[in-house]
Amino acid sequence: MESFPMKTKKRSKIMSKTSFFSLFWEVKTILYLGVLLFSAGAGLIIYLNIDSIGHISIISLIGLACLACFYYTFRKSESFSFNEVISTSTWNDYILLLGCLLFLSLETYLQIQYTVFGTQFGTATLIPTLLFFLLAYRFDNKGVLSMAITGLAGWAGIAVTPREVFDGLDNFSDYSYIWTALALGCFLNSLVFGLQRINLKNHFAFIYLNFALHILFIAALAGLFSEVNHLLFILILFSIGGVYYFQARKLESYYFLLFIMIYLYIGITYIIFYLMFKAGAGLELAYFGFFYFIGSCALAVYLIKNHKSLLKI
Amino acid sequence: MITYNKKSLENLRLLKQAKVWKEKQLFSEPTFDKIQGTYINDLYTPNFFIRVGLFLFTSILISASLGLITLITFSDSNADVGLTFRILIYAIITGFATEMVIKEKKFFRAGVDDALQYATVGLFITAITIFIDSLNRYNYYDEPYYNENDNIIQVLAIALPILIFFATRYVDRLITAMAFGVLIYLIFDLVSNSGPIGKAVCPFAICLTTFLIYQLVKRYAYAEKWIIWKDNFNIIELLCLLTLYLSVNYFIVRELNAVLNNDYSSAQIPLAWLFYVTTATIPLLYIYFGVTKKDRLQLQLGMLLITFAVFTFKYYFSLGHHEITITLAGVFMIGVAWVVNKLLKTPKIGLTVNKDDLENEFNLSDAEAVVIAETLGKGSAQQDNFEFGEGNFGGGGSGGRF
Repeated sequence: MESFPMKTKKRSKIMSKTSFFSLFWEVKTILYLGVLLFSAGAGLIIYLNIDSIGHISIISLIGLACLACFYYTFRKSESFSFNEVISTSTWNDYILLLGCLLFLSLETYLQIQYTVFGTQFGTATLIPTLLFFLLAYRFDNKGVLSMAITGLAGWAGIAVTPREVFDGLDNFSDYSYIWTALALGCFLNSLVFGLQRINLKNHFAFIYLNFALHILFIAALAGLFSEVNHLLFILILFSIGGVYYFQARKLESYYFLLFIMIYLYIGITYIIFYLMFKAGAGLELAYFGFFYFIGSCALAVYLIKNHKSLLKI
Repeated sequence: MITYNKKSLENLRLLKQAKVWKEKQLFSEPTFDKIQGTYINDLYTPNFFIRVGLFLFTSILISASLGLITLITFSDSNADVGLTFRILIYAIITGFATEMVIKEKKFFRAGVDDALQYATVGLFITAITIFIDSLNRYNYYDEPYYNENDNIIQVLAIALPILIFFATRYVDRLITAMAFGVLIYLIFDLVSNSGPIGKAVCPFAICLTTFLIYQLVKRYAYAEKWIIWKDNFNIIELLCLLTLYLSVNYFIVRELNAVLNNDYSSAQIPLAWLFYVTTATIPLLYIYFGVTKKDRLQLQLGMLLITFAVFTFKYYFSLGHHEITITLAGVFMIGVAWVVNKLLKTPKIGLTVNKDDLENEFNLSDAEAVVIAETLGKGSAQQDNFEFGEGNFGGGGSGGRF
């Protein structure tokens, strides 16, 4: 090995270039956990000492901390852009996140203590949702965007729930949830479509689509299992699969491909066995089942193995 | 010795390192192309999500196939011995299928090969378990003697070499971890069941064993000869450090001691001060060595284990106010992050918080470095007659995308 004169030179070059040991992720993780623990702990302290501290001081304390976080983020972050903004500071994202969590605590506190929103739970959910959407777009923060979408889903769930549920009446049908979820998924999809038209934060598309994918498929499967109308939900299931197949091809996403296959497989397997049971199959069903699983899984493995041609990459 | 093509695995390792170096612009583009040409990787390693999908469907496929065979051939006339042979035959079938798939299709960590490997190992061990169990239950003299613990020890003692064999043969990390777990359990069981002295020295026995294994792995395992098992040795290293800490953690020692003595509530243990010290200091030592020796594994494990140390002390000496602990811990962690960030804004003593320096890490004692540095030397000596090979690094589409 000593016969290569370049080696020592290269070695020293490599050595000098790479002698740093980066604590980037360690520091980030500690920071993130610290933020989570701090907001959880502060919430707990307030909850436990609600009698002795006094409401006004607690509210002003949280409010001030929350405002301070937002103020810091506004001052220190980069200006708004339609495209992805790479943050130069490690801190901004976390302080924004802390601010959002504190805002949630503040709102919950106000609602529980003073019932600011009365029984209008929809409004109570919608306010942080809208705020988080604005903040997510302003500061290009995917975490806050996820919180906003979760809030939106929660709002949709509350908005469609009939008042009777809260009043304890029993004339409430479960299927409204399925239709809401389907509508929400479609809304998120069209939102992505619209936002991509004007090229606003195209890198957010994956987060929207990811939420919508799971919401839509789970709703369609729930509809299928609830035996309202098999044909309708099979059609819905396949059309969702089709739409997402094109999305997967567009984004070259293996993740979407995998989940499309898993959800479709569950749906198809369910419907085939349902029909077999209905036809009154006995021991044949066991044989058929094994052959079905062998055949279908072999096909699935073949398709996934050839995902490149499937996604046309 | 191993199922996979040894040369391909070695090339895979080298290419992985070379790619990192290229991204850090230690190589020029042609040099990297040349390395790709020299070390050709023909293995199929897909993206993580594809691997998950393949694993899932292959697992169902294996279960359905074996289920069908059982359904067709099953008759209830044969008892335990028949069952052992049946499962043994299944294990041989899946084992054979594993070899075929890997040889023909060049799968490597592709889901299909993983599923088949786990099925093979699982079936082998199940067959042994049933066999030993039936031997013990219906022994030769028909005595009603059956000891649960002896049974487990016998099964595990036979399973250990099998696990080691398959871990080496399939270069698999999960099987390696299982083999390590079985070894530690065997030591624990044998030592703690050998009277009161055994019980007393049990923590130290395990501590010493893991320490020795760790030293052996650190010293000898990362040689060029063993380059393809690097991932396995990494796992063993991690598990050694983890077990070493847990074996002398006060909480674990005290509670396990109570379990061994069949006590309902755990009593104070002898030598408690020693375990207090080890509980508190070992995580800090890990962090210290992690930073000074630039060993990321030790550093991160140390950070994790500090949490466990805090839990241990809180569990026995808690003042009750968890909410204050949580808040203070949060403040402390934000503070630590802030201080470290401030201190290392400009790199000091070889440490930095810069993201760009993340990928640069390797020490040049690594086997990869030696081999690649060798290639580099050759490359510059015979600049004009190297060939641009058709490298297909990363196999089928192992991109960073998802």
